[in-house]
Order: sequence, then C-alpha cells, then structure tokens
Amino acid sequence: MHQIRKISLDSQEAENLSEREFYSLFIDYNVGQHIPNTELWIDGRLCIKINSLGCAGYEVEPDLPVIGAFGSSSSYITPYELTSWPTEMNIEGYQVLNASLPGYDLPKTLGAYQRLRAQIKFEAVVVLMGNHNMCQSGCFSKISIEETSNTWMPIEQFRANHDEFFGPHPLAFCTMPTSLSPEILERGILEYLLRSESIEPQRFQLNTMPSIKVMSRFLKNMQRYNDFLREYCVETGAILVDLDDILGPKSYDEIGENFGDFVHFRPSLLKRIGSIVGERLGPHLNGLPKVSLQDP
Amino acid sequence: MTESELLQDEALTRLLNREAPLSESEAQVYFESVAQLDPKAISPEQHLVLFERGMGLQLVAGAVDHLVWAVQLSPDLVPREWCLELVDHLATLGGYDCALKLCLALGCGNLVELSAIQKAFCLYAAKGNFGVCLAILERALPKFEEQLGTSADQVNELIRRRGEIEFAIWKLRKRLARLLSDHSKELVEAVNSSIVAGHLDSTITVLGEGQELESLSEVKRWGLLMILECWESLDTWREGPSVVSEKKSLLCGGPFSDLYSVESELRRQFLSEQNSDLSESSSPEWPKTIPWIHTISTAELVYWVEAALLKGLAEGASGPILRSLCPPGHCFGDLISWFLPELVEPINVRGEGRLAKALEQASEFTGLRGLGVDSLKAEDLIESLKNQWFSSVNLPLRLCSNAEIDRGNRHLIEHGWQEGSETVFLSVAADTFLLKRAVRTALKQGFSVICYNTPEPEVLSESDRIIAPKISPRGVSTWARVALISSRLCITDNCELALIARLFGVPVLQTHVLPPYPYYFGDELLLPSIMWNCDENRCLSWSETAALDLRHHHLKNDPRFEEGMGGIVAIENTPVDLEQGFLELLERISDPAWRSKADQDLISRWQSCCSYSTTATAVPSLRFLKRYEALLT
Repeated sequence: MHQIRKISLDSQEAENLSEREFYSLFIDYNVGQHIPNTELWIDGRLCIKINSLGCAGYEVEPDLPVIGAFGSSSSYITPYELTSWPTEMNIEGYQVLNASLPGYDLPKTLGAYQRLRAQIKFEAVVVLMGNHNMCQSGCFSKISIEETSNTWMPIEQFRANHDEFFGPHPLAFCTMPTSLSPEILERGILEYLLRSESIEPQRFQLNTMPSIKVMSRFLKNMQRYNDFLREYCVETGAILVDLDDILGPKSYDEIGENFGDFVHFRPSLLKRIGSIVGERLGPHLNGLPKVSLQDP
Repeated sequence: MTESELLQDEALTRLLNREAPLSESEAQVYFESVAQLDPKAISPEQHLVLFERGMGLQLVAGAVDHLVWAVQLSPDLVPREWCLELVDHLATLGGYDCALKLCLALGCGNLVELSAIQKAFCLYAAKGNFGVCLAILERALPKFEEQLGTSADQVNELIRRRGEIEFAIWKLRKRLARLLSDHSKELVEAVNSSIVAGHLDSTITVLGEGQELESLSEVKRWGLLMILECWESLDTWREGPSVVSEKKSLLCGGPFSDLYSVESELRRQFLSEQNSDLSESSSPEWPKTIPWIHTISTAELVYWVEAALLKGLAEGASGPILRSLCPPGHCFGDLISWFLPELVEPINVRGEGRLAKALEQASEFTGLRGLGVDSLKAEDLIESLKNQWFSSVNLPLRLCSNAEIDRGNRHLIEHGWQEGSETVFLSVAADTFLLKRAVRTALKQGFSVICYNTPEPEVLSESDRIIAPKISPRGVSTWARVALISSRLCITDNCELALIARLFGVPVLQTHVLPPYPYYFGDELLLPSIMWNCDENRCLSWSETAALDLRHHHLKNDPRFEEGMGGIVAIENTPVDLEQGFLELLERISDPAWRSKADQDLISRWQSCCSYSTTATAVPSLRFLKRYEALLT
C-alpha cells in the first residue's frame, strides 16, 4: 500500500491556477516526471491520479500483461474520466500503462520508457510522439516561427531515439496526426476559425499564430517526421499506425472534425483511436515483432 | 367618367364612409393617384379622414397629401403643434418629401417660391425643428445655390444660435459649405464653442469634414488643421490665429507632440530664414511662392498630391509645382520626383540637423502649403481635371523621356517581355509561396508578370512570362518605372508604388494594408491585414483594427512599432486572398457595375466599422470581406 499525496481544491481555486501551476501539482518539472502516488481532487471528485510508477492513471494489476503507451499531451489522460486513447485500446487480457506526459519531447519519452522497462515487463509498446518533437517548444509555449525553423530535430536523432524503443516486445509507432491540411496553406486558418467560432463544440482553438508562414513550417516538419516514420517502420519491421492518414482532415471543412487544435484530438475520438491502434497491435501480441531490428 | 375615375371615386367614397377596409392594392392605387384629385372637391374634414385612413394603411405619402390640403383649406382645423411634431417625425424617418410638403403648407402656403422655403427654414430653425430644417435644406439645395446671399446668412445664423455640430457636419457633407462665402468664420466660431464645451471629437470631425481631409485620422486631422491654420497666418505668426493660441497646449502634448515638434522647427527656420538644413538647391523664396508638400507618410497623400499636381497643371505650371521634404532615406520623395521630374522637386534633409531629427522623431507628418483654403475645392478640382489628365493620349507630364522609355522597354525585352503584351506589375515583399497562386492565375489570364522587389521571383513559375530584371541598389530603375506606369494593373504591398500607380491610372490591388487605410479614388482594391491578438488568441474585429495606431509601420527600425503593438501581430494575406483579389480587380476594371446591392451593403458595413471614407472608391476586396465576414463588428 502506497502513501498517497492527496491534493484537494475547490473549483474556484483550480480555476485561479495557471495551466503551468495546475500541472505542477502533480508533475515535477525539474526532473520532467510525474510525482508518483499523487491524487488531485477538485470539489470532492478525483480529477487526476498518478500511480506508484509515476504514470497518470490507476495502478497496474499485478497479474495482467502490460502494454506501455508513450507520448505527449495528445496521448494524455482526460481529467476526471482518467481515460485516454491508450486506455481505450481494450485488448482482451491486457492492461495499458499510459506513460505519456504533456510537453514531453522525444528524448524524455525515451527516458520514461527506459526507466519503466526496468520495473515493468512490457508485452508491447506503442509510441505516439508529441508535437514538441517537431519544434522542441517545450510545454505551454506556443509554436513560433523561430522554433519551427531553427530547432528542427535532425532525422538522425529521430532514428537514434526510435531505435532505443526496441526490445523483447512488439513495437508500434504512430504517425503524428495534425489538423493542418495542405489547403490551409492556400486559404489560411482564419477563414475556418471565424466561420466555426459560433459553432460549439466544433470550436477550434489555435495553439500557434495563425500565420501561413508559421503553419507551413510546422506542417512541413510534421510531414517530414511522418515520412521518416513510414520509411523507418518498413525498414525496421516496427508496426506502423498511420494515424495521420486515417484522422487527418480530408478537406478544409473538416479541419476541426477530429481535432480541437492543430495536434490534439477531440475527446470524442479517443475510443476510435484506441480501437485503431488496438486492431493494429493485437495480432502482434503473442510474440516478438516479426522482423527484428538489425544489428548495426 | 372613365373606368379608372369611377373606381377612384368608389374608393374615395368607401374610404370616407369608413366602410370595410379596401383591399391593399385598391387602397394603394387610390393613394398613389391622390395628387390628381381636386383638393377642393371635398371638405377639409374629409381630407382629414382620408389622412387618417391613409396613415392607418401605412400609405404615408398619399395620406400626407390629404393632410396638407386639410391644413391649406382650413388652417385651424389641425393643431399646429401636432403638425410640427409630425413633420419633424417624418423628416427624422427620412420622409423628407412629406415633411417638406407639410411644413411648407403649415408655414408658407406657397410650395414653389424660394422665399417661402427660406421663410419656412427660418421659422423652424427658430423653433428648433431640426429635422424640418434638414428636410428643407436638402430638398432646396439647388435653389439655395441660386439665392445664396440670404440663405447663407440664415444657415450661419442657425449654426451660431444652436451650436449644432452635427448640423455643421451635415451642412458640409452636402457641400453647402462651399456655397457660403463666410463659412470659415462661422466654422471657427462653432469649433471654438465646441472646444470650450470640451467636445473635442465633434470639433475634429467638423474640421475634418470642413477641410475634407478624409485621408487622415481624426487626431492627425486636428493637428494638421491647426498647422494649416498656422501657415495661412504665416505673416502674423508671432500672434498666431486664435484657435491655435487658445489651444496651444493641445498641440504641445499627447498625440500632437510629434506634429508640433516638426512644425515648431519648420517655423523657427522660416522665421529666422536659416535654411541650413535644406539642400542648397532650395531658393530663399520657395516657402512663399511654390506650393510644397512634405511628408513622412506616403499612402495617405494621394489625395493631396493629386490635387496639387492637377492644380499646377491647370494653371499651366512650367516649373516645379511641388517640393517634397523628406526625412533621410525616405523613398517617397525620390519616387515621386523620378516619375514627375518636371513637377516635383525633392528637398532632402541632411541626417544631422534639428529638422532631420524632428522629422525622424515625428511618427507621421503630412503638410501642404500653397493650396490652403483652395484645398476645400480640391475634390472638385480633381473631378474636373482627372479625366482630362488620365484620358489624354499625350500625358501632360513628362513621365520619362522617350530615351528612357526606349531603354526601359529594351531592358524588359531582354528579360523576356514581349513588346505589347499586357503585364501585371507585382511587387509584394511576401514569401514566394504566398504569391504563387496569384501569379499562376495572372499567367492563365494571359498576362506577363513583371516582378519588382519580389523575393525569389524565379521560383514563382517556370513560365517565360515571368519577367524579373535585377533591381538596382540605387533606387527605382528605368525599366521599373516604365513597367509600372504601362502595366494593366499592379499588385503591391508597397504604399509608394501604389501611390505612383494610382497617379498614373494603373488599377492597384494593395495587399497587406495596415491602418490607417489609404484613401484612393480610382479602381483600387485593398486587402487589409487581419490583426491577431496573441494574448487573447483571437482576431481583432475591423473596428478594433482600425482603431490601432500603426503610424510607425513604415519605419521598420522604429522600436516603437514593435513595442506599441501590445501583443498584436498582422497576419499576412493568404494565397487565396491574393488570387481572388486579383480576379476581382479584373472584374472591377471590366465591369463598372461589378458590385451588387448586397455587396455595397457589405462595403458600407466595413466602412462604418473602420470609419472609412464613403467617398473613396478604393474598397476592400468583396470576396475578402465575405470570407472574413465575422470580423465586421
């Protein structure tokens, strides 16, 4: 039995917190990890739970095989419901440990995997990188021109970090979906934004300046990563879940259909994504990846 | 009796007997033809009944005819005050015809004599029936022009007595002001009263309207008018005109300080006759003899430049008719003098002196000397001369010498231009991918595209109709001048080029326009930049955008520009904006009736949001406005 660090707030107090302050209640930003065994209660309701492994969500069952999910804010749990697309995979006989954390970049995500695999035997691992790997903007900062242009992570660094996720378990990588469609680069986002502003809950939030110049660089970077990942999975035999292809908008009018901003899914989509990833991963669960990583 | 007369008679009987309601169409037919009736055929009381029935059926015009007859046939039948109230109400609602007809019936009886109108005007002005006065003035304006003397006195008397700023604005808008010989004095009086009462906004509006300085923002208009006033009184400068001396503190502080610092420095130099900051070419007498213009601003000057040039042309000027005073490094003076070498003489200010410093510090300063009060008529002047100027085969201006034109053309041909082919002059300093779509469309329409100062023109398209000679670091090349003034249209984000194109009648699509929005009077379309509030994560509405003070935007190195923006950034126009704007400009050029009533409403809404001139013909692209209609608040 673990000693639980319980934080209780009323909703007024919670509302007065900045986003950063709110997350600081259960994330130690000095080390870039959750504070284990923390519960945040708001108005008597459990809002966020961090388990003893330092992952958001409930404790893992001791006798049930574990699938590890790694990522950033787009894979993170929703407050109160404590669900996320990884927990919605619903693969019979398995449980999911969601080790995602908002603002994680690729090296930190890898660090979480390396830390946890010493404690948990993963039967499978799924990775969906956050947009911070695209521009290294860090948590809570908006994407700027400088970030997208000057801090692109080199492909070689992508490759080196992805290689580290391989182990004695099936490994799936998800392409990074975005609501940015190439049409945005012709029409801009403001036309859509102003049109949809009065339509709840289709309201679309911008998490960057709506400049075509900025969006173009961001989109190119996303495409660059996704293109890399598609080739990488073919090359290494890792399982590819092409979420970008499946969820990306097919037209300008669908920009906000699946996304609440440029990178984050709408909560209503979590089950669908869980199911997509589960279906891709399921057949691989009874053994090692069919093609293993070649030794360098 | 004809059938229609029978029907009319029957309708009349039924109405008078208050019988079951007529059908709407029958009643309409009756009241529309009521003017044909003999008023004396029925009694005043019956007229009154018909008035009530007409009003009940909302057929106001016919109903009022009956009331007019009732009043004329029996002046005591209807209470006079009640009638006045109705008249004022009708006038307020815009029913000027009815109001005028009725008020004249009440006061004068005779509907056609001008003296009667004047009498009615005075009567209702004295009674404070403001709506009636408006109705009378508006309807009788042409007659007032014929009988100016007495009417002018009455108008001015009204202004003096009532101090109605709104009335003065209205009066000026109706161009009545120019008909009144002593309007300046009356205006100053009204303005002074208004200042004393603290109605600065109204005062500015009055002055702005009065001087027709529509191209300047309210604050600048005020400052500028003060300065113009100073110039008009240059000989008695030390005393200063009353408006300035009384309210000098206004000029010395706040938003006027920049204007004042420049003006003070200029004044000092004029008075001491120390022109040490001016170039050697300036002659001692120039401030008094030649109209001159000096500016840091550019785009807003089109009105003034045009007026001054036309005035000079009309008067057969043989030498420079304008001199431009420009801060160091400012390109406007160079541009305008390159294009109009005969008429504009730039006076470059050296970088070290006090005047240069004052000019640099001034956020924006626009001044014009030499037009003075005549500038009131600048619009008329333009109207009367612009066709002569623009339609002339041999332009009276020496735009470029024939040798220069030949040289420019040869240069363009060397770079792929086919002589005689229609061109679009493109000068937008935006990323290439923003321009590609518009360029492709222009090529598809059969144009050649001449790129001037456009980054990476070589990647715009592989077409051989992209012409992009190298740009001279020394300024606008001959080829560029030739190309600009001979292009079919110009797409630019450059205020100076837009102005030049405008002056030479080349339609402009001006992109990335920031407030204060320029006023043009030709076939221009604007693509304003949408402003984004980074802190609040939202777009600014057009009214919020128009209220921004972006006077520094042309001073790229001025830290005040960035600091002053308060987390607000301008978002670039999109490729679709540019493409659609281009197509719309083509439509506008080829089809004068290019916009519908709904389109005009949309433009009016934008003009209203931005307090933009309703007389300027430059308007935002309609497709652009529709795309971002939510910003029209």
